[in-house]
Amino acid sequence: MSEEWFFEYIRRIRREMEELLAEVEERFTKPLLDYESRCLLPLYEVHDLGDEIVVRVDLPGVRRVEDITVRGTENRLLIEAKMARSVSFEGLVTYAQGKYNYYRLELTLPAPVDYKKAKALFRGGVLEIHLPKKLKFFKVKVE
Amino acid sequence: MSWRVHKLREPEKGFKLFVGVPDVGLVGPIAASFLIKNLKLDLVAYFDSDEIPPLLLFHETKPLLPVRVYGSGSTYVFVSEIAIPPRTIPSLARAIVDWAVSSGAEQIVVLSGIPVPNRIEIQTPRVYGAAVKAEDKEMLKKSGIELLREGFMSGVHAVVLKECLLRGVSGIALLAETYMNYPDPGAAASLVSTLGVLFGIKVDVSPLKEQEEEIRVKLRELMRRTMETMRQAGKEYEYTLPAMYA
Repeated sequence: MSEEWFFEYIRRIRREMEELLAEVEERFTKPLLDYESRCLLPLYEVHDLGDEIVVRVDLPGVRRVEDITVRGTENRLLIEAKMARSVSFEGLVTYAQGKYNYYRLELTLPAPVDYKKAKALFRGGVLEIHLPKKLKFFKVKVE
Repeated sequence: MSWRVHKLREPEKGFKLFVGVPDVGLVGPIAASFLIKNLKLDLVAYFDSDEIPPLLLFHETKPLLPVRVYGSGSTYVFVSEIAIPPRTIPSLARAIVDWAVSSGAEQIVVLSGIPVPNRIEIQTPRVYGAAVKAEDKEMLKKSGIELLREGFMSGVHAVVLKECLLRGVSGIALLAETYMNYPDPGAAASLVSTLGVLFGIKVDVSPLKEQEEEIRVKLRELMRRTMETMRQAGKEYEYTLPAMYA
């Protein structure tokens, strides 16, 4: 009984690692669009700046901030955005043919964030989200 | 590791070769493709290697190799539509300079980008220059192009300049401020405009600006492949101060 917490801890670590690996695999191997949902996956970057996480997302074709939705939890972020007009992929040898006008990105954040203090800026088709980390600061006296 | 050049036509002597290979912001290939289309250049050579992915490209039903040279008169353009695997970059740079020198090029100009963190706030990206020969540096300065003064340069443009330096060939790199990881047609437009100032190549860049959003959407996959190769190619060295700086 006393070891149960340990096994649960190991299971949780394994689960988190599997989620992270799946996300990395998806990022580099899957196509940047979903044919079924007619949705594009945008290019993005996540920067850990110590006390905040900055997520930058390239959303070409999106013109208005009203067309962007950013939602999330402490550890997850979901970004959806509608383009002003559809983009066509015609004549390609792949299954990607057709029109797309929607972006969707779901990602795991490297640390829990305080979403109440989050700020977002959209300029030139690039969305930049600043997410302060949930941190408990302490001070050490130096002698 | 070697590259094979399949020549379709011999260029006229004394031409300038502009090189656009995927790197930061895909600035080089965007600018190169725009020049090829708008100057209506002819296909003159294919570059091929066993070290690149086994691909054949189709454009308007026409089969094409992904690494090609186009040209006409005194303007030739080398373009790659695939991200070059990092360990193949040095041999590609040698092959480009070999072909250019043996075909009678008078100058090699590599078109690429320089990533800046505040790109989101920049309306018109600036273009910086680097050159091997003193007279080329002087020409850039006289034309108002700021020269790169200190630090490492990484990627195909770095290795092409290295080959030019070792062989005494006139080599220039033109680098526009760009996003690192997003296709940047705005930066490519700045580069193409600079070619007008430096070499008299006048091309209206407004179509490039009008199609900016579409280009950015459609080049996402190539950008992703390029990001992966940049990670393996020592791109982070550009953030490193050289020891001689201290």
